Amino acid sequence: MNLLALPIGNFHPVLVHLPIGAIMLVAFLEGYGLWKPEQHHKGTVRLILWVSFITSGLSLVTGWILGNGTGYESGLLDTHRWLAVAFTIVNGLALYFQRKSNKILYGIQIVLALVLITLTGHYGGSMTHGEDFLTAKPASDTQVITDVSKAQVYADIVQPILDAKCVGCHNPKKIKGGLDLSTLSGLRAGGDNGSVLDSLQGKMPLLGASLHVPLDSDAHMPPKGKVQLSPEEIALLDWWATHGHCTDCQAGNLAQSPKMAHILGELEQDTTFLAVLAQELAPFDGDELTELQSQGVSVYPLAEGNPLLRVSLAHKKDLDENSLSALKPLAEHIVELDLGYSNFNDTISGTLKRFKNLVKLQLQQTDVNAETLKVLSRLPHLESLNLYGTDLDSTALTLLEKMKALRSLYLWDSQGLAPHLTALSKSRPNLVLGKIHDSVFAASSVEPPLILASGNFFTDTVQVQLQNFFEGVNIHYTTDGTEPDTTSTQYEGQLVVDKSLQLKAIAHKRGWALSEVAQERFTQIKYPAEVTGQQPQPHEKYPGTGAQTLADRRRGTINFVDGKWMGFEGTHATTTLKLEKGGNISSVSIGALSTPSNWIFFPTGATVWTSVDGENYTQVAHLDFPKEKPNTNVRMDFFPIEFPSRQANYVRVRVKSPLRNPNWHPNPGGKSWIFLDEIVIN
Amino acid sequence: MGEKKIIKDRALNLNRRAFLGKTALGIGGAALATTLGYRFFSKDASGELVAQSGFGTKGELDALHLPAKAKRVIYLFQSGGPSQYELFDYKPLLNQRRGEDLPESVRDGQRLTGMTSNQESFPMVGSMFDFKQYGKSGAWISDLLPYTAKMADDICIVKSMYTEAINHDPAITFFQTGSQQPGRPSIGSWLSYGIGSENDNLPAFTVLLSRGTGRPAGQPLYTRLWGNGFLHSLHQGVQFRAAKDPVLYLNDPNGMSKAGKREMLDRIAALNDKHYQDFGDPEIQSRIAQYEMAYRMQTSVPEVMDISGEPDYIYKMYGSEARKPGTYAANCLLARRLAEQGVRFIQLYHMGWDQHFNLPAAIEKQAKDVDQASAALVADLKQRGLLEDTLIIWGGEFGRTNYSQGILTDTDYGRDHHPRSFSMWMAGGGIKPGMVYGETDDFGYNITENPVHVHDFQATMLHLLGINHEKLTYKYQGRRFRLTDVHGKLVKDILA
Repeated sequence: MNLLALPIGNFHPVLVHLPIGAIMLVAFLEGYGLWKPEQHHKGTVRLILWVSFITSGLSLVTGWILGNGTGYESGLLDTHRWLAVAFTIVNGLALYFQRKSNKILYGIQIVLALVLITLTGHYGGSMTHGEDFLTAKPASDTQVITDVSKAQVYADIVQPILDAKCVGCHNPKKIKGGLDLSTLSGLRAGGDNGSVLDSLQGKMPLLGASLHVPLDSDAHMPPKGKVQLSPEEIALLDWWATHGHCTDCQAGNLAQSPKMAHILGELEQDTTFLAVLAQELAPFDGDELTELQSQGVSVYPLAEGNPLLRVSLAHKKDLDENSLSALKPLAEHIVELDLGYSNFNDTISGTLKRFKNLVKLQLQQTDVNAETLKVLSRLPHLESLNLYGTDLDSTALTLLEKMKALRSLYLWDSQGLAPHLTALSKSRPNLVLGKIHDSVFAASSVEPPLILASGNFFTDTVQVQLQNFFEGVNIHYTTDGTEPDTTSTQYEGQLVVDKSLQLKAIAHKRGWALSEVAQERFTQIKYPAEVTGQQPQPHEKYPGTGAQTLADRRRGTINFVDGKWMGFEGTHATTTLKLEKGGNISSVSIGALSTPSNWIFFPTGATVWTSVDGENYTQVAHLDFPKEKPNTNVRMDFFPIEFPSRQANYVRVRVKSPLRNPNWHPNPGGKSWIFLDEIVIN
Repeated sequence: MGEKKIIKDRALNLNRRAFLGKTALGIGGAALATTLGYRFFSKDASGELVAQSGFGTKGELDALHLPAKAKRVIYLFQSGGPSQYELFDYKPLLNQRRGEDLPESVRDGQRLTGMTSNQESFPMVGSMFDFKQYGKSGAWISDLLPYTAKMADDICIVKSMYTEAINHDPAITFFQTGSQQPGRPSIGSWLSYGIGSENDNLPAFTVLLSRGTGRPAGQPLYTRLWGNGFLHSLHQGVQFRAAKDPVLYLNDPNGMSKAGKREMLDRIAALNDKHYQDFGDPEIQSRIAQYEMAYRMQTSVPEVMDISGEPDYIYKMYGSEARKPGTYAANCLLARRLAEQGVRFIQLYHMGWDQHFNLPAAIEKQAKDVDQASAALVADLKQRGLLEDTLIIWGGEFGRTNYSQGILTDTDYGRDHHPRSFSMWMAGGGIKPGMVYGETDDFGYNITENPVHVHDFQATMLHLLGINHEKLTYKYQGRRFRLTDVHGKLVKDILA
């Protein structure tokens, strides 16, 4: 059996520590012996010297075998070897001079041995950990990727993979296969087998190829037994290869398959304070949490397995020192605290200083001021602070400026601070102030006035009131049908209408746009009447309010299904009315609705008869109304028919329907409707 | 999951009975506190149940799956299917080729509704309203939405939404429950079940309705859209009405005193609790909890609905219409008030977007209904610091066709339902602001880039709330159900 074939070289790292410890112990015992000679035991020291000598010899042998395995830089290796040989010899000499009790030479050997073991150890360390292992700063050059689309493909993605999995052997010191993968120039230069990046004769470049050959093959890299690349890392290197091993390209600019995009996405690391804190903090005490919850505090973890907590005491009106102290055991876990709309105030604000890790704090609509802000300015991680609707004054400003981590600040409706906001956004340009510019809603118009009256029909006069929800509103109106503006008559709290008219009114409020026009028609009925005949009867779905619909002095609305309209489908309608008190009449007016999208149109004409006895009717007027133009509006209107004044006790009106939908309608020729709500006799 | 828990609770309860016999009144109270996550009752020294003012309710999940970006959602549902071509998806080609028949290669076999399947031609029609670019992203937004446009840097417009349904009810049901067939829980119910409430005086899931002026007598909505499906009935949405009684059947009858009511509820709770110990039926707990919630809402609801304290400048933001109860603007203002109270899911519906005919006139009014108030809601939450953790969603159940339904005239056209592409926007709560996501072809008919399915939208919304959409499940009839059914992938690109 070949002794060298056994991996006894691998025992070297274990054995080397024994002579180091032993020789140090000898030196310590000898030094102690100089101070307290009676405590010095020569035999013990001798035994330890022997241990040192023997283990030193064993280390030498195993080390020699390990060193023959190549790969280490020969300069370092030789120095280490021969220093170790020297140490073993000096150790032997020390044994010899101790036996001879030659204290001076023995002392020299011990000091020499200490120096040699230190040097040997250092060079050994340099071989395994790198030559600068003592002085090198901790590795920090691996770039943390927060946005993978902006990552440099070579520097931020490829090189870290090489560093982790390849550079252990392919570095300038160890330089296996003549290949150095620790730098870009080394990568480009290639190794003993030529370039690793160029694809020769259409074959895969060596870098990728050696990853893809079977694990058992000698050409496979990293060699069997070493840590292999993950499938994702191989995919990343392949992806880099398909983009020609570009060296100053950004990941976001290269084509990515969905799978690749996913792999790249996984490289991103969340470096926000919250993410890091969640990693570092130990889990919270679950019993404390349950205890708090049972006291009625809304406290929940941000997510399952997450040690961070969110607490809400919003709207609580009975907060005191104790309610916040109760949170103390969990204080460092609490990152969000909602105290909005509560009775929280400056006097109990001191307790907030315990919440060192607060990221978001809501104090809107509370009675806080400078005292609280002083405490808050010492919370180092506060990112979002809600102070809307508080009475902060300008002293708060400097304190707010001190909060370096702050990113969102809500100060709306905090009157004392309003004038200083511009200064604040200048000194802290990255601070997001949740402020809406006044101009956004500047064009908002005030609500049109409400026109209130006992009804739209009257016999002699009617009282009309104009109202508006808002204070400080002026209402202007016209009665002649023209559009009102701020120069029209101003409403002074009373308006009496004594003749038929169209009332139009607008509301005006300083700082607001003018309202839309509100309008209402008031119609005088000199001759109230009662319906005595209806031919034909209205459609069963739209009977209005009953037989008296057309004489009930009530208008319908623009909603045709409001139950106030009488509807007739595809037919004219004739109504007979008996006047309460006969007289000389000269006009009949018909209230009607038009909403073409619902197949309802204004009447096309009307004929009026009058009678004194209710038996014999005389036609007094016939009028065709203008044809409706194409439209899709919903409108209500009155259609008056005038005639020479004559004595009458009865009136009969025949309202003409268009019968069919006009040609411009989406359903031309369909059976159309007329909708009537009132017939007015004057 | 749910079923196992029920069995476990029941077994525990029975064991306790075996141990403590019939004297153990109050143990049920403890069980009440734990099994439903409600902390409505506790035992006092004498072992009597007393009502307790707790702090919200705990959901089924012990902890969120991941840190939440959004703590609550305001979903501004635009019912009827808003036309993307008049609002967010600018397609000049449709104006250039106005009146031309839509090429069959573009339509590519898309099924049609019964309303246009008999139409002889499909004349393409572009928007009658101009578009301009707004914000840092240069988002194209129509002149119909001047206020939304001003908030362009705060919202994320998704132009590549698509759905599978083509008619209103299945499409809305799909958006709200993840299934076109009725019977599954609505999003708000899932959240109430999964993560509970931050406020135990108000329901976790509230609903506000308004009718649009674009088509006042348009499609109705069914209450099952905010139903709890197979989940516990206490997770169903509670509708707040614009009337004297915002929540129906909440007020005490005349002559009943507050103290008398309290005493009655305590006695009923004790009786119900005894009943619960005998039978272990969790619906009994649900009943107790609902009595208690109703009692609390007698004060909390009038408080939150009372908008008289809002200053004038708030109305200037939302529009003076917000003074009129029942309008969309008033509902947006209420939504903010509910959000401030920590209500988890605030669902608005604004009806009237179903503009098959007379679209230009109708959408002009309809857009005016919602534009200012929606923008104001974003702005108001922003200045209050609430936009950080409140997700606002604006969108309908599908889009509309790029061709005219009915006859195309110089001033008039209509659009039919279109499931293959439509636009939505989201804001706040972990959504990337000032962004336009996804793209459609020049006809606007098909998606060319970054399609977002309804289930993807739902998965993303749950993600923002800290929930892995694959892990929030409920076992019912032998299988586990979830909001996204067996689909849904996270839309990572729109996350901040």
